[in-house]
Amino acid sequence: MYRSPMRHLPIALFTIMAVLALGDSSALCAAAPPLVSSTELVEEADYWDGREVTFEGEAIGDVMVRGSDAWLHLNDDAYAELPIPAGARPQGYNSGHAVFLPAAEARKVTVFGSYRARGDIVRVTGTFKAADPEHGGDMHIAATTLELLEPGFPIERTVPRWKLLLLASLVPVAGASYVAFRNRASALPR
Amino acid sequence: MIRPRRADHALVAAYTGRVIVGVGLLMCIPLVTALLFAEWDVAVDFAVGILASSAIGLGLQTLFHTRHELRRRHGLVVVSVAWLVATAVGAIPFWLSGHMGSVIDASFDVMSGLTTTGLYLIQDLDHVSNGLNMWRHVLTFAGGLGIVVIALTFLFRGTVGAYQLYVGEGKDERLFPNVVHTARAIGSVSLTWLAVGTTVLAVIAFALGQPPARAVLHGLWLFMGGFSTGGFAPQSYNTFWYHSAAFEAACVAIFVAGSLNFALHWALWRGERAEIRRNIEVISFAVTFSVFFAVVSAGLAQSGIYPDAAVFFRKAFYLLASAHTTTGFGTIYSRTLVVQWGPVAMMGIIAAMVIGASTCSTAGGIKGFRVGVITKVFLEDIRRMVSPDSAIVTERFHHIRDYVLQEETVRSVLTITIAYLTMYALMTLIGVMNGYPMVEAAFEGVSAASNTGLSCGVLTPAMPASMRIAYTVAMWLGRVEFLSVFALVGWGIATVRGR
Repeated sequence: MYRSPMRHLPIALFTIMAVLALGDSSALCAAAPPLVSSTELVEEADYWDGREVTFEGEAIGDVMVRGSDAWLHLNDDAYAELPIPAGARPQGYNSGHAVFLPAAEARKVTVFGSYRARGDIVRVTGTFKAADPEHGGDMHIAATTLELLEPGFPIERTVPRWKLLLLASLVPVAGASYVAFRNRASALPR
Repeated sequence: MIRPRRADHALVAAYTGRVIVGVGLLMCIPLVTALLFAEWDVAVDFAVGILASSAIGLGLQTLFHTRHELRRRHGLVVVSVAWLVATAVGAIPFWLSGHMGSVIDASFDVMSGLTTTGLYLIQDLDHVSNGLNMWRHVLTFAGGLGIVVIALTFLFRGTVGAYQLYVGEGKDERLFPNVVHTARAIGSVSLTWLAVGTTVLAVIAFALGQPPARAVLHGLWLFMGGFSTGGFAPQSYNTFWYHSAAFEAACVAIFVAGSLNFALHWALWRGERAEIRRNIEVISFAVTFSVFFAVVSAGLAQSGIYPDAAVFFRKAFYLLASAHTTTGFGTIYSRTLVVQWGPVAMMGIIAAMVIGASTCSTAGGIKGFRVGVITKVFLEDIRRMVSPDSAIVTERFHHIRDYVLQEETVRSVLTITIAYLTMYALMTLIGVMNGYPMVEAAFEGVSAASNTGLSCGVLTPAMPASMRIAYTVAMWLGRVEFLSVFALVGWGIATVRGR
């Protein structure tokens, strides 16, 4: 029985479409640099050196503006969600990355992580530099853009009741120690 | 072996009580800081700490009130016990802050501060209050001066036994015949440096873009961390935070100054500038630094991480100077040492930490003086070998004044050196037994035992508790140079088995 070669046409067309679609999506992937963690950048510094990356984290401390550029530090650790002063339990060290970016971009950050606040969560995109000679060999991300993902918030911290009770119970103990010490010292001959 | 009498124990307890009161007084500084920045929760933590240390310190002095003078063995034991109790009391605000994983971790950080080591287990440092950050740095500054020196300055009135306390804390220079005057001179020199150093760092930090209040706080804290050769910093990024050559240069000047013998400071203070080029410790430091710089350079050249010469020098010089002065400031991520610097450069850094800086300074390690003396002994032996049998060969060295090398000095130098080397080996072994690679275990173990504080990533809050305790003990032993701890062990044995 004769079978026309054209019977494979729909499959061939489908395959071509699929390949084109995949090619298109990989092109899209190439357009968006991969999201990396601070641990990946430090542990695989040689691999990432010179590559475009996306990095997300909590802005910490302050922004240090140097002319038209600025230094920013972003932490991508467990405390970027909820810092210890806001009620989180200890979950390890801080970890994050230094970012060098245009000062105009850095000024988008208004809340910095500290005892009093959870900082803004931001996303930066730029080139990872494992040991940048222009900045004394510092490892950093030379970012071009910064996007605010989640605004920071102030941390309201009240004194727990049990701490006040502990304090109140220590006052008479320390007071009694002081009085006893004074009495004992004055009672002994010099 | 003579069993200590009840009166001896009472003497130790009473003097320990005085030092504990001193620790309580120190807590007033972070308390005021917390109140100034309206950190009420933190203020309560410090109020609790102050009341607890007052109750314990005054209680001990009341129960064991004595007018007897300290003898040598009392002084050494007082220092050992005082450091332990001060660690426990100083850990109260840490523990109450919620930033510590356990009481072991809180004690670790206080011991690290007091011993000017700079390793830490505090978690979420980047969200720590100003009050607690102030306490961390006051601890390291006070530890650098010596908590007993501080107690001598403010709480003692020229007692004969005070010298025993002073020696027990690893200091043996007497700038004046009266040891309390010596302690006050150390205090004066340090406070002058504090004023100048803080101003310089704060001005640079402000120029680098920090807000004024933070610039002043960071200037003060980094001075305290640097001059004490402690290495604590207010951010988890350490001095990498500032990205500035000027800031790094100021830090180097400060921690090198802190690593110098207080007697050398005093000689320079009096205008004796020739001392800086004649002193055995300075010469020893210059020679070993040059040798280790060559090793680190070879390692970095091998890895090829810094092709630019200026950058190469800046990174290598800063970290090596920080290691050799046992400071622990860094401008790279901890793991960069392992991932990018490599084992040869790490070995150069380890060797620098092994030796450390000067005696009677804030630095740790074997010390340049002992390396200098051992070198002199070696040279003396060579000279003796090539000299006629009838020749009398003597070796001299200069340390504030000229000395002829005596057998007693050599014996004491070798004893302490062997004790340090044994401790370094044990700490490395403990690390390896817990599954860490040899070089990393050696790096971290030596860093703790030499009171340096650099880390290559071994130390984490998840590290086995046994290692955290071992590091705590090593920091204590390294800081008091064994003698006081050995005296405490001997005291314990004599109490049980003595007659």
